Amino acid sequence: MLTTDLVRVRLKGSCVEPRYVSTSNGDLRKETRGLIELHQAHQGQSIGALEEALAQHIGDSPRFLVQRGLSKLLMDKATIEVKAAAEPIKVRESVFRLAAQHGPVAPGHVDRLSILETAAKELGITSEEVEASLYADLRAHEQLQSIEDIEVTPLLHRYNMATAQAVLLRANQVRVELEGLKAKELRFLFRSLKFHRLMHRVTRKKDKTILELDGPLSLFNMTTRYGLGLALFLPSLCLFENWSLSAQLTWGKERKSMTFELSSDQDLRSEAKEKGTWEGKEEKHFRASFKALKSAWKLRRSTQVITLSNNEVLIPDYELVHEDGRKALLDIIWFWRSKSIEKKLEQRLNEAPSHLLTALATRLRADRGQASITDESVYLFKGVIHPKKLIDYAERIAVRS
Amino acid sequence: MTRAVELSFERGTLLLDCKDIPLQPDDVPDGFLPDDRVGGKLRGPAHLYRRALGQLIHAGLDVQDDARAYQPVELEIRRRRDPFPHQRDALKAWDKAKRRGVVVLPTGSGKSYVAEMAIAQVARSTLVVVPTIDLLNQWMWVLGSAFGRERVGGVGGGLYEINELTVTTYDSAYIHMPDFGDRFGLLVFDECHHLPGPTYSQAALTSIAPYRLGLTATPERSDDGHEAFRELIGPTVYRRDIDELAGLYLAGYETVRLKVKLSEDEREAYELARETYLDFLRQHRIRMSAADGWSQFIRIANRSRAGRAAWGAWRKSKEIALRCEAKIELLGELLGQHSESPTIIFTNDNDTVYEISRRFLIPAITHQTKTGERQAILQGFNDGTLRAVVTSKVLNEGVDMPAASVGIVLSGSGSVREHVQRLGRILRRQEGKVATLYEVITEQTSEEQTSERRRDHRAYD
Repeated sequence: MLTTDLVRVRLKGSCVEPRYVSTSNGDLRKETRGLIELHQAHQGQSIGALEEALAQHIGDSPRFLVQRGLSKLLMDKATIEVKAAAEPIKVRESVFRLAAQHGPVAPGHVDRLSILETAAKELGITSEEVEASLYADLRAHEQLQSIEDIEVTPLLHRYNMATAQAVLLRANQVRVELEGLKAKELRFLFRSLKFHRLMHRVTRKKDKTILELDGPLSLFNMTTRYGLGLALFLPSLCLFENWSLSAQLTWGKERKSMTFELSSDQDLRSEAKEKGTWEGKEEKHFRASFKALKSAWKLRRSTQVITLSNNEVLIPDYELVHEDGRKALLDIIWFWRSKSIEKKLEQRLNEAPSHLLTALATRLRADRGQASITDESVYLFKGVIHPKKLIDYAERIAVRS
Repeated sequence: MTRAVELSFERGTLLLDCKDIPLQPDDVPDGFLPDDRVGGKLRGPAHLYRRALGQLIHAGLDVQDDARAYQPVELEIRRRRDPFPHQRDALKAWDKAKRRGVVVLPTGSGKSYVAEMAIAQVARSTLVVVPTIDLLNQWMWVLGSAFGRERVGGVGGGLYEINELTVTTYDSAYIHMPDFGDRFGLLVFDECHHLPGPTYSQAALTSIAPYRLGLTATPERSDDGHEAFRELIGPTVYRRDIDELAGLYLAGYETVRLKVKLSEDEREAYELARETYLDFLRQHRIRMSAADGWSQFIRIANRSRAGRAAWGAWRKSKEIALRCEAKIELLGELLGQHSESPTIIFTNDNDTVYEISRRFLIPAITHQTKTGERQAILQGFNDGTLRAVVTSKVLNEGVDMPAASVGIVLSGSGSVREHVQRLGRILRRQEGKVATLYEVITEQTSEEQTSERRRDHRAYD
């Protein structure tokens, strides 16, 4: 991620606009290629030497901040090592102790070289090696082992993502509008929110899901404490299309109130891999067999977000809609652990709407426990969901909407 | 019907679950708000814990208190000694103020013993918050010898170990207090002038600790943030200044100011750089005497090549004045003169620290020095196996180096507080000790002004 001193923005009124780079700008691509090569050429050399070369390379370039930023991103994934004849901390211990014993190293007292030689004997290395090892573990003297093998385009994409993330570090609240996501995708996003310890408020406007994101303390004062979580959440969000984000920022030393806008149109590329859309063959089979049944009930995907207490959400996969307008929500739980399932089901029975039907696989549980909950809204199935049985449950709990 | 409500701690806040009991508006504790993210339960800031509990009980509610995770602990100071009158009076004043408040005492007058006594008196698990990793190590050591090492833990500088007595830094406290703010009954803020301000103050706001003690030698903050002490810690309950205690409990001290001249080459380079910088200021009509002069310079300088050159020139002139060869030579002479006296050398920038360390083979402490090595150096210095230490800003505050009797300030910024604390370091109480502080500055450079500003404090009167 970029640090605050490296992030480039334009301030327009109360808006913070990140200055993204264009991945097709020829000059920039050339410079970036040069920068990657410079880092590659310094594999096996000291960080100090790299930094000096970097200062030379960047010089008075009008894009010096971009180059510094790109270098930071390269170094974030580099391996760095200490190279010394003896462990520097031991060399220092010996040298400084001897200097205090015989010293001070000052005119009319002890000669510096004689101390180094005594230390060299003690450590079993040469006095030159003593001199070279003394501070070999300082950052500038450490050695760059290797950098990641990366092309120009992905590095520039990473730069743009890191720029947006660096702005989000200063966010005290974020609002996200999502459209057209499947239940599984929404669930993935909420899992990511939970992982980054963020709290949410959910509202619906037509087909849009609107999330307000912050943390417990945000209720009392604006705090950028959750900015890191919000920044780390961004790559998950960027896996999808049709979203927009607007953030309230506490900006700069004067802590000015600013805003930041971002949407899927910006085309920030996420390096995150998973997006929660994986579907098992059991579920495909279920959809096919439901269609084949040709009943008055239709199966539709749902994206409704049901807010439960304690910042938990429930996002049913489907809705079952009858020709006469009755409706039931369907949530399928394929995998579960006996420890948490009872608590989960109990919370649903207490807090979810009465027309929620939970289908629970009894075969695919992750351990040997049993779920002892029986309720008219919980359909236990062994591996395969039988559409007819499912409809029996739906008939009992569906409501007219 | 019982009117039972549940109070719990959640990530730096208090959650009040009223179940189905309708709460009268008057019964809602101060600072609590309904939180729709958790089904409308009431949420309040953690530092209001004691008051909220009182208000709920007063309202006739039956409170199930799940918030408090700290317990009474048996604590006895193992190496009890008679406190000095100012230590005893400070503790008394704090106790009288319901164990919430700030004690102002000069560096070296035994603030930490006041804290030890307070911890023993409160007898609850305690968190001590300090500005630096060195102080973290030092406090762990102090608490360990006072109450037993097995009861002491630390959070920060690679450590994460919570114990009955835990020491942490302001940085770590800001980050982690929401995770463990329920586990301590007493908070001690060392060098508490760091606490006000939007970030660090959250360390105080996200803890439920009813008892709070602030310690400082210099409560003045240029932005008047100390007004915030009242809410975050408590009122100032006791105060003694350095001249009220010097001689009596602190070592006597003298300050010697030495001036050095730039060499001809250095002088030439200095004037050249200075001229480039001043030219730029004149061209852009920037007046450094104006309040926003400096930020204006940075803003404009960043925009053009000439600006960045002016910025570079400013840095260079500064560097020449701070690191001039004559200073380094004079340092050699001083080290030779005081070959038997434990000496601390202060300088502003890390490059100079390492240059001095290499040249005179003196251990260095900077922010890059790891915890174990710092501790070894400080210990070696105090037991006499090391004679001198060179350091930059990291040792600025309150780190105990009682052995030191000579301080040499090679360069420094103009902050009054910084200088008093540097001075305080070598003034630690020791029988019959006379400490000397040398300040070495470069003649006829802008550094001279910095030095004037620095001396503008009572300690020099």
